[in-house]
Amino acid sequence: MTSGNKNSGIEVRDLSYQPGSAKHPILSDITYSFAEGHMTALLGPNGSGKTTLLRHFLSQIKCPEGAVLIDGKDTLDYAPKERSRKIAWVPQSSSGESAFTVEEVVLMARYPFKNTWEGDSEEDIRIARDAMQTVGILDLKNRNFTSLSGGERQRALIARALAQTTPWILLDEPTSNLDIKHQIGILEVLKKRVQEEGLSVIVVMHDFNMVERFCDRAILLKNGEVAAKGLVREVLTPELLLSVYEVGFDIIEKEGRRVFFPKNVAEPDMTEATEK
Amino acid sequence: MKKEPLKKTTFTMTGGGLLLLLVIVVIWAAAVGSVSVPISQSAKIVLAKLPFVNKDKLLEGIPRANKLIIWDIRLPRVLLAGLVGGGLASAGVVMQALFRNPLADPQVLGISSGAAFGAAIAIAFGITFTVMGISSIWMFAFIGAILTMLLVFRVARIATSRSITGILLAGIACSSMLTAAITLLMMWNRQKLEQIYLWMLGSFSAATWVKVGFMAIVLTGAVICFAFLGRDLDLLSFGDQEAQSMGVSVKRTRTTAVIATSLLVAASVSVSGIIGFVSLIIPHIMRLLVGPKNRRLIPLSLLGGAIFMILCDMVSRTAAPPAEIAVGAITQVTGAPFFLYLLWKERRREERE
Repeated sequence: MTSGNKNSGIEVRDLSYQPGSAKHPILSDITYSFAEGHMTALLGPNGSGKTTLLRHFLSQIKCPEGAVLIDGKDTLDYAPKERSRKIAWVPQSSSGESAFTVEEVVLMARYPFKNTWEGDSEEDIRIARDAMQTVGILDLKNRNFTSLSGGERQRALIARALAQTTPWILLDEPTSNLDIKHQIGILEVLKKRVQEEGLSVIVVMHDFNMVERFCDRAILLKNGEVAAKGLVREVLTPELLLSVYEVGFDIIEKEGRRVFFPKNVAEPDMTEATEK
Repeated sequence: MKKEPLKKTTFTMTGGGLLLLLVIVVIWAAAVGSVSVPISQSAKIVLAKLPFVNKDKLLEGIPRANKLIIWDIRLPRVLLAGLVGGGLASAGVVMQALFRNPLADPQVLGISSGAAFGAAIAIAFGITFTVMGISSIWMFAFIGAILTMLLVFRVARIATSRSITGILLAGIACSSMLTAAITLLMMWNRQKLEQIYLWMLGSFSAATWVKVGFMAIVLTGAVICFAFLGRDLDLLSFGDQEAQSMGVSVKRTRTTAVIATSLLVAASVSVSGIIGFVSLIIPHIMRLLVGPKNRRLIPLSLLGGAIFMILCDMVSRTAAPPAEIAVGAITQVTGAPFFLYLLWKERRREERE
């Protein structure tokens, strides 16, 4: 066994997953250690297994081959409350459809810290309001959650994850509904927490410019297999991107950062756009 | 910041108000009937049964007949209506949360049809006996409800491992199957047709203290389960996966809630027949008053359902004496328009904002 320190973090060991009905495995032999205190990008084309991998972390898939260890313990062995004090999750979109206010929704994140009968304490309300302030939705706190726009909802979900005060946050395309200002705002908030408070973030994203700007590590999936992993600079190379995404990229250095320009799709007949 | 939610105070006030209203309604309903008893006497007779009350002094000068009418005839009926109303309404809250569907109703689980089928068998084949105050029809109805419930769970588990939609579909299938079976029983036993039909319409006319005790025990058990689940049910409104990611033991919550509501509905239907709409409308009314938190909705719906059912039963037995109007008809005739009014008002409020 390794020492206690090495055990902390999220470690994926030889993880494979093939549902009974599927012809091909969704994940095969994934091995990767998500180190603490980093913002790691989880990359890959649609259907490459990114969301499925995150669902394993949350034990939403119960019968994998291999394992996901959180701080040295298999995620399947965690009690739900115990796990949710380690990992918060921001889903791609939320299915919440009831008449709770934004503040009530954010306060739900305090559930794992309470016993059955406890109400929301002053401390809980302070944490929830801090989180809403951070993502800029404090003025919406008495609004009905279902009445929010797509972007406001997404920010409310991020506030909820922050209010869960976990060392890890998983975000599944957290910026897909946000305008550019809020995309940068949210990612900056997360990065600041990573740098100043040692938060660990795993984020699914499709925008390489954002990955380049905010993430320091990356893991790239293709057809359920790890195509590349390591520092962002090592993963985001034109050769790898071409082989995984079938799109060529021009990369330009500007102000010390690389900027990614997509070129034409490698096999033109695969898209409808070229038919026009 | 235009409005701070005052929902906690609203909750306390609504709860206190409903509790007081419930006591008044019980006393009032016990006083009203073919033999009219003054409300003051009704109140004294009810209060005299509480512990630490000087009975003899309180009951001085009240005719013996009035005491008998209130205590032996009306009070069991009033209390049974209250327990069933409260039970159906609180079960409705939990069902709506579990299925994440505002139209979910205990009847969709097929339990009501199971009870009706049990009762129909007892009536059609002329099975009549009474053991320890438990009549055969009641017993068959309860057994029918429980067996249906087990069948539905069994089928649902076979159909899919993620069972909540499975249960819903299995419930609907069993329900229509049993309804067809009841229709056949009625066709083959024309002379019993009316009796079966009347049982299905629902009534509290056969109330006894034994039934009251039985319902009280089941309701207490179910409410204790619900009390543990309030917050979990709130989180479940975001779906199983999100709820689990926030720490809810989804499977345990669902299992407990489904079993508790099923038993509660089985017990309610077996003592009273099928009384529709209470489990649907009361939770919605309470939600409009105090918001969606289940920890508030469940107790308030319990009180609201009890009051509503007692009043409906009172109308059913006093509106056209000596005949009784089916209580289920009254719950729907009064409930539906009021519900529409509330929806309309809510809509207006949203538009103004």
